[in-house]
Amino acid sequence: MHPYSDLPPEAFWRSGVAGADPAALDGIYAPKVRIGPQTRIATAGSCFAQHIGRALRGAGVTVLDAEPAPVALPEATARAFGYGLFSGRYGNIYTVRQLVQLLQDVQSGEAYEAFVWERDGRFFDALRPGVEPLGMESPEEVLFLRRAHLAALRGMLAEAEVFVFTLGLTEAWIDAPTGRVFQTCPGVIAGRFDPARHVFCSFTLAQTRADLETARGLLRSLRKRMRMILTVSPVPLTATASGGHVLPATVQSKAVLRVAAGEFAAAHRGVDYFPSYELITNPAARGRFFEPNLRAVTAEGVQMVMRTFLAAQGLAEARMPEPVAAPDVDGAEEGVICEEMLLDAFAR
Amino acid sequence: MTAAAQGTGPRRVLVLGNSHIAAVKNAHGQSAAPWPGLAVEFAGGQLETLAALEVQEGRLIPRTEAAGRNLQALNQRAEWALADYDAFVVVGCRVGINLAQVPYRKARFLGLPSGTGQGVEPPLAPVSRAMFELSVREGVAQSVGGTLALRLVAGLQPEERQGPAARVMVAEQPRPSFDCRRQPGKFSGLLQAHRVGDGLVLSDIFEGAALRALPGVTFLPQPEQTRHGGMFTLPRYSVGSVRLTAGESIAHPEDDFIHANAEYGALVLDQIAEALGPVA
Repeated sequence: MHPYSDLPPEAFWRSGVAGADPAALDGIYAPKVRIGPQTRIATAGSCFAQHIGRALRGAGVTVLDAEPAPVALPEATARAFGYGLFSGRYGNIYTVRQLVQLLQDVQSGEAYEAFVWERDGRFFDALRPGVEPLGMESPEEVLFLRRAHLAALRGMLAEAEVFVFTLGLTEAWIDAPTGRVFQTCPGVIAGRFDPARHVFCSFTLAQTRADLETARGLLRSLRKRMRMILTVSPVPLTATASGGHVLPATVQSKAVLRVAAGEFAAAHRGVDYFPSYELITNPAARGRFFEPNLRAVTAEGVQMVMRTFLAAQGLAEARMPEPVAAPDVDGAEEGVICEEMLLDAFAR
Repeated sequence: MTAAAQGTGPRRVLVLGNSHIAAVKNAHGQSAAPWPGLAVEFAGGQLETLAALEVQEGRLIPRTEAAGRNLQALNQRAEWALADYDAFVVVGCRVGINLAQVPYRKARFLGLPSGTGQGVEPPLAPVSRAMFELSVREGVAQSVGGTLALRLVAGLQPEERQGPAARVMVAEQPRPSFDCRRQPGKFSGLLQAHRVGDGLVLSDIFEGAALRALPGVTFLPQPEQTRHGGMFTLPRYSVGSVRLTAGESIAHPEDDFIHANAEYGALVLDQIAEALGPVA
């Protein structure tokens, strides 16, 4: 007898992966943080997190929304304005540092005049430039809406019992004098890139771990005993500014995020890790959960991930989410707003 | 090809509308003399009837039996050939100031004279002015009048007809009479917006939205001289309004504050004539 003799099939690569149906992996997720239909959930993260929020809502789970669309707009337009994507209108939160920064702003309620970008006479919130695609009338309007946004988030986070966060990237651009991290590189959506001021950064494992700890502390200061479920987005980088090839940059980034999330979850009873990254990138799937651009996740992939999650949580009998339509534009995912994809336009 | 298209006669205009068409029809019925350059026909449809009109093989036809019956009863016909007209004017059909009132009920933006609505119960959502405007624009495009106008534009593509392209216009639904103060409950939203000074801003937003929402359509805003404070019509342009009927003239009740009268309708005919320009 030895430790391997009684292991279940999923513990072995041949039976757990190579010989298993990649669309129905058994035993890949045993929830530590349990949720039910009544659990109040907040979602945030990178583009992939939009799928999670939508699927959870579709399955009848209580996903909070601090800022529902207040006026009648077609769904696609509302989503382009950042409504209904997450539990607040913060747009994609790609890095853990970005999350920490947002939570600190929620606590302070402060909006900063220095983080208003301009483009063609219109003004944008530099910390979430994508949520007002037409821009705003004035810097005052940007600050007015940011303060309202932070106040709405404060109320929502005080209610949330579980915070589901999808880690997306380690690469980011930082405003050197203030240390503020941006959602997108200055100049891509609005603003102007200043090489003397805007500094590239790829967060290390230690930094990412530390940021996760800070984020947890901030969340629990807003809501006692708030629990967390972390996932890592399987969506590769659109582009890297690291100076190297995008493939190793992607692997580096995802490896850091995966290890940080795993270690962080192992260290805290109220933090769980759900393997959406592994489910999509599983070699047995031979890339079938990626669209032809090898970046966007297919509707089948999203459905499989959410089915796995909901079944493990005992929510399998809840209404299953509708499949997401296949993308109709190369590189674009139906119904997903992804500022990072704008970088693709600069590819030569 | 119409006579006007050949430059030999008045322009043939098909005026389509819901109950608000009655003001224009009544004005024209009283005397067509002020508009010698227009040969006007009317196509009235009650409530949602005109939303059921669509263009098929160069003809404007009802897509439902109910709409067909309503059109037949009111106009003694239910189909119109696009090639027979030089212009189509959609009157009313919910392209009106109420479309700005819809988001105003729930949201405020920075720059409204009344402020941002903070501390109000029930809470009003802060939105950007750009999104507020976009919402009104969507309302215009999806209204009965907007839908019909856009269908006409699509059906009048150059290959569909010979000669100059026919014009498509939308004449704004008249704003409620300022006498609606006598029914403060029914018109509370508009009256409140007026009272706090937001009327002119909402009016600007609505008109801007109507211009942008309907590409290929000429928007005819409510004649300036008939307005009161951005949200309303001067009562003299409302008193004596009549119903949309097949023939006989039936007055609206005294407490109807949403329809305009023949004096107003005459101004709309002036707008149409001016938009089409003089006959060569």
